[in-house]
Amino acid sequence: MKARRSGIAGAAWVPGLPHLLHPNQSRSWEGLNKAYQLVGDRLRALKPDVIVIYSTQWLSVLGTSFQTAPRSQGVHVDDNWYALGDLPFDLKSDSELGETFASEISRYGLPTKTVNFESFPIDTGTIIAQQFLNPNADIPVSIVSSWVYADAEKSKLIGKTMRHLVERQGKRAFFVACSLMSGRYFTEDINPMEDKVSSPVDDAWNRKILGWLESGDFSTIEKESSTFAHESVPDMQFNAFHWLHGVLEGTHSKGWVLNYGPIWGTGASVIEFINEETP
Amino acid sequence: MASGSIAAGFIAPHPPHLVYGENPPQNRVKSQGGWEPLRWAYQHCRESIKRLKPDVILVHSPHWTTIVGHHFADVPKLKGRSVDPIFPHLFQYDFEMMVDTELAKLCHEEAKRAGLTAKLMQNPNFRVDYGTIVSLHMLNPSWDIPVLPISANNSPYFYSHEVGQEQMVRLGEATRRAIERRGVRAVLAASNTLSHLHFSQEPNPPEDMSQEHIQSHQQYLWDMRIIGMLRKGQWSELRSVLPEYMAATFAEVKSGALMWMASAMGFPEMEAKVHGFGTVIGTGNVVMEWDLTTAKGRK
Repeated sequence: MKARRSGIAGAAWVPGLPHLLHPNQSRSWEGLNKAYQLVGDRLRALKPDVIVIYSTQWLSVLGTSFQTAPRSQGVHVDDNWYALGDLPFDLKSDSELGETFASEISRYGLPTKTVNFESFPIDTGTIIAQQFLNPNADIPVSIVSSWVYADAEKSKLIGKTMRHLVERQGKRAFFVACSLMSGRYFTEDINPMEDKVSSPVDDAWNRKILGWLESGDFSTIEKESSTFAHESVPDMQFNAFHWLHGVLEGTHSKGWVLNYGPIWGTGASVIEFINEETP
Repeated sequence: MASGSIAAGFIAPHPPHLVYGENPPQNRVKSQGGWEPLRWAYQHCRESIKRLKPDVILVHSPHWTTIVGHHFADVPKLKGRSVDPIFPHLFQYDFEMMVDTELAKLCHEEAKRAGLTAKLMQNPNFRVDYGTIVSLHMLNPSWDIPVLPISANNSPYFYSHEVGQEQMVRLGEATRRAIERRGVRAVLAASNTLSHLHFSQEPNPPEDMSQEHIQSHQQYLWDMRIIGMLRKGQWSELRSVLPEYMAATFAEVKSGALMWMASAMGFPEMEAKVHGFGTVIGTGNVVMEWDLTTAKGRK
């Protein structure tokens, strides 16, 4: 039997909207739901020690925040999508890892905070990821915020540092970037069955990026991301990609796109990242 | 029932620091004070509200962000704990508010009639955002007046600044018609700071006022220019510079609260009262009042 190596057990890019819990309403949501479930099955088979989730819906201002409350439980209601139902959640955090992330990343001059407060509002993206990937809450998680002032370089450095710290702790982590690709929503009610990416420009950009991911051309995405940001509306300046690029650089050769489709006009994809050891 | 009216409007900024500095029993976190000039400014608002005796306070908050339309809270009582996701170490507030749901329904109806996408939020588990709570607490800490939280529709950001503000003008007009139909005496609160560029690190303790100042001189100059226009009721001048102001200072008025309130009040050509100006982690905040019961120049 092969020894369990510390570091990256696996990685995925997933969306984090509650529409995915309603697959019957839209063929696109159904496709994304099935792909998300597949990633969840594979993740659990890999038996990681921890799931590290970077969510673009947890925004932070005073640097990057790390959730360190040992357990977060409750019912979340999304500000906009409350009609899609309440979102119960139960998360067990790897507090030690969160503390380490915060203290070590601050050594690079990047501001960080730990968050350990009762009733802290866990974001919708994290809760959706947890529901698909870790529904029994039996794998500890480490949740990291999307710092609004981080640029591509800082986001990448944060990701890279987090991977090294996971390795240093001798843990195997499954890294999850919970983000949309293009984030241009329809701003009116739609028939979910007729959901589509709201702008052809966005759709073209999303597909271009998926192509580069599948061919393992991460460096082109890195170079083109500012043009993507200029011509389209990437979710949080596409910082989730830069973070994940930092995590994976030199270890994972390409992405496997399981599904791509719209959620209320945005571009969403479910991607698993693979290396030579991925079963 | 007699036609309702708007008695006053307030710019009611919502940094959680103000509640933190005041140390009310509802907030679980305690401070040594801080941001007194802004808190003293709010004291004048509290006195005005006592005198005006409104039936309802409507608040438009940038931290209830919605994508699909303008939303109105339609749950008779909202209760819970609100922890600020950005400043959780300052704001962990146990809130309880009565909502004027009849007014919510009328606002919803009038907004739709004005061609806007509008929704009624009827989920009793909804967690009220900290912007709404801070503005309402600072205006009326006894919470004995019904309220109506209104979301900030984020979708104008996908268009131009001008389109976003134009929507808010229509929302304001719709709100006024709803208030008139409801027959209530209303007070409006635009829950926003002015300039919004801020420091990304805070002192220890956060209430160390030796570290508090405006983020930049440029930002200060812009805020003073805007306050000058607001004081004199120079609404058309204000509307023409708003896009530039928002771009230069990331001004939170972009959320639409100010234009919503001004429109609902009929862009009153009157001298507004500046109760105070102060900075919070570098942002510019003004507390202002338009007392329409004394106004003569409403358009």
